[in-house]
Amino acid sequence: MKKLIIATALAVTPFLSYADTGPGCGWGAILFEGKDGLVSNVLAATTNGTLGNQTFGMTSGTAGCDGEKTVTMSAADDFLNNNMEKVAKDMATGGGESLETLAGLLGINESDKGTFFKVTQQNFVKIFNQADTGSKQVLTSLKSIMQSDESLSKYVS
Amino acid sequence: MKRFTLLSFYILALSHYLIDVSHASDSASDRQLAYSQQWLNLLHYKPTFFGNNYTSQIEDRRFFLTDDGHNNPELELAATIDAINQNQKNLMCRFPARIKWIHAQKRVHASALDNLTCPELDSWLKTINPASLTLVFPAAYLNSPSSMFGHTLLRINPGDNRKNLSLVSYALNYAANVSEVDNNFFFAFNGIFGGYPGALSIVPYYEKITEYSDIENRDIWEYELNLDKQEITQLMLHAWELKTTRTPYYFFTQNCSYLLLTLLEVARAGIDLTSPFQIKAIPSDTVRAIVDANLVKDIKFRPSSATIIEQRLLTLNKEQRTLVNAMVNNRTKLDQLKLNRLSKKSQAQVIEITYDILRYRAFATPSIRDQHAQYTFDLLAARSTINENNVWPDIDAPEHRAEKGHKSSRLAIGIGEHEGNKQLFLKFRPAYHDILDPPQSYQFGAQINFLDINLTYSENEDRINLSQLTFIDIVSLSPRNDTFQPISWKVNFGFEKKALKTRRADVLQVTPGFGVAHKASQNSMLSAFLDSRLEIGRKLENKHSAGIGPTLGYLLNTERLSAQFQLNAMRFFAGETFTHYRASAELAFHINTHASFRINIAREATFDRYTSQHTALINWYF
Repeated sequence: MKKLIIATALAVTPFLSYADTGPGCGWGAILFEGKDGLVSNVLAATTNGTLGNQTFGMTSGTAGCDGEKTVTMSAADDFLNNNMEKVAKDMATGGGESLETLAGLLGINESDKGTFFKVTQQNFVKIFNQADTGSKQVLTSLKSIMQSDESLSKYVS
Repeated sequence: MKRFTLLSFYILALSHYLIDVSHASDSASDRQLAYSQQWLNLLHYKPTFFGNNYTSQIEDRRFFLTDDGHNNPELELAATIDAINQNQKNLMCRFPARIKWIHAQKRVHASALDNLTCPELDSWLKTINPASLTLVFPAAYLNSPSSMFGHTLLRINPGDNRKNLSLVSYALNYAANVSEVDNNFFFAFNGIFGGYPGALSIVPYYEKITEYSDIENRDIWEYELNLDKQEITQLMLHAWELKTTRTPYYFFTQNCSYLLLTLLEVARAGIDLTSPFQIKAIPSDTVRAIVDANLVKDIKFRPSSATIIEQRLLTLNKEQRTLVNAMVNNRTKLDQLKLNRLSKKSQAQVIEITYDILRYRAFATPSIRDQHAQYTFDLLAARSTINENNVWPDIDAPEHRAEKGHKSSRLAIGIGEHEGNKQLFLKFRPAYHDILDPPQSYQFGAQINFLDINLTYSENEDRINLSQLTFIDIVSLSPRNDTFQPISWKVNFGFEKKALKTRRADVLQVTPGFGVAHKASQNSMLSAFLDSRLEIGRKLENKHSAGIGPTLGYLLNTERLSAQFQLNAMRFFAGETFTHYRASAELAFHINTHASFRINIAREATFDRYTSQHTALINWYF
């Protein structure tokens, strides 16, 4: 009976927007959880977002907050940190909204996006290297691959 | 005439100037201003129950300058004007929207705002750089009918170089601020009765997508609003005013969707969105109100992970599907030999969907994540070597948008006959959808009724009885296929008048059941359940009765006709013991989304007695 009440209670709690759904950032969570300090931290911060620590200020991932880097590169960092899995899938499949967003944050022009998609698809294994590659390594590899491409090098210099 | 207007304008301006200098108050025009709709909206004032006064729905006293401002629009307006004139410290950081509004009404001197600043607010606005707003409505998710209520939030689309990058725009979200230690029962209880403070927060939109699209598998509707720059600024300033207020979050009334309505009322002068939602604010109903108020200019559909998988599986042939299932279940290595038999494009499709299904499962069952890591990586690596892009057809948005379905309140009147005894029925259900209601925009096989009240007049008793009061009634028929094997479930909880062998008893009953469902066609489903039932009532043997038994069902849902046939047997083995058999047919003819005509025929066997019941009901949705 008690269980049932709880089950009923659970069922009636929809639009309180209760997000106790465990680590929730896709492949990043699947593969990198506990292996990369930064990713775990970001994950912890994002999953606690709607529980308690609500913030009205800016959260990382949408705007630059790191003084050392340019605004866009920092935003790209944050976005990649939080969307590793989706970016990875988009790279492997040759396009998609998450990769499109990353390209936008890296300042890649419309005319070079096709190249960006193609180059990242061809170099997927180099960029992600292995199943437990951390997001920092991913970004480093991505930048070095862009560096060696004629039309993409201008975006990472 | 023109000159006269101009002259009166000068006189008006001059008189305002004089007032400002003297700090005297112009009581007649202030009174008018204090009860103008915009001032009432800015401070969330609503008429009191008897309609002779106003009180604010924001209970936090920090939202007001005066002790009695909560109940007194006039006093609060006068105090705000004084505070502006006195350059009160921190004023712009506390109430920027109402200050700007008072200024726009020319109630203070044009230069009165020169010394009122709030650098934090300026930099906040500059960072967000709002250019347009999108109302985001995540629809119901699979196997969770309660999520049909949905949630709404606002996406703030920036106007700078992040333009067209909706994933990295901001989401303005209002939710109950829940403490993690609470167990779920108290969560529900507190949530309904305002036990948690509501809190506004801003998060990157991609976080919300992860939450809704990937974890909860809810399709998302995005309604781009047609607010102009000035209206958007006013909305943002008002959100800023609300950011620190602590207001109880009420599940049914002052919830996420209601708060968004108040923000929109502040943004656009002259619209009334909140009045119809004082008793309940169900997100889909509020979305409909926003669309009806001509606030929407464009609508987009963002399918969830589960919808994408489901739709794409339908486009595969049998050979591909068999291979997908093998690869999903194998979970260790790619079957390159079998893959090679397919075309490059087919290979890409099989690998992608295998990956998507595994990822979907990893969200559902976090414990399998580690086992999948290497394999999912290998899948993507293999996919990256196939030079085929856009291998899938587009996913079409459902024909019926979220706000196009029937409204959530239902009133029914009807006639019936039970063993030759004529009956009249009056039924009312404030929310939300049952399996036989007009199906447009609702999830097939999902039902949730709240507070269903049934009054019955019986000829032989010659009086009106409360024959049934259902607190909650949920059915979730979730079809199984090769890829997904969900458990369907249901629960019903409420009071009921029950006919026993020689007497009638009022019982409090709870009836949970679990089962499986399979689609018989695109719009019909077969289901088999094992139900259990516990009844408590003074007139029952030992005051209770407990039973268990199977139910078989067939459900058909079309735009014109819905039908349900059920066979049920239940053995009550404890307390009041007996066996009950029931066969029923229910047909609903949908006239449109506002009205539906329903016929129920049931035959029951209990205590070696057969009885029949026929009813005909007309349902209105409003």
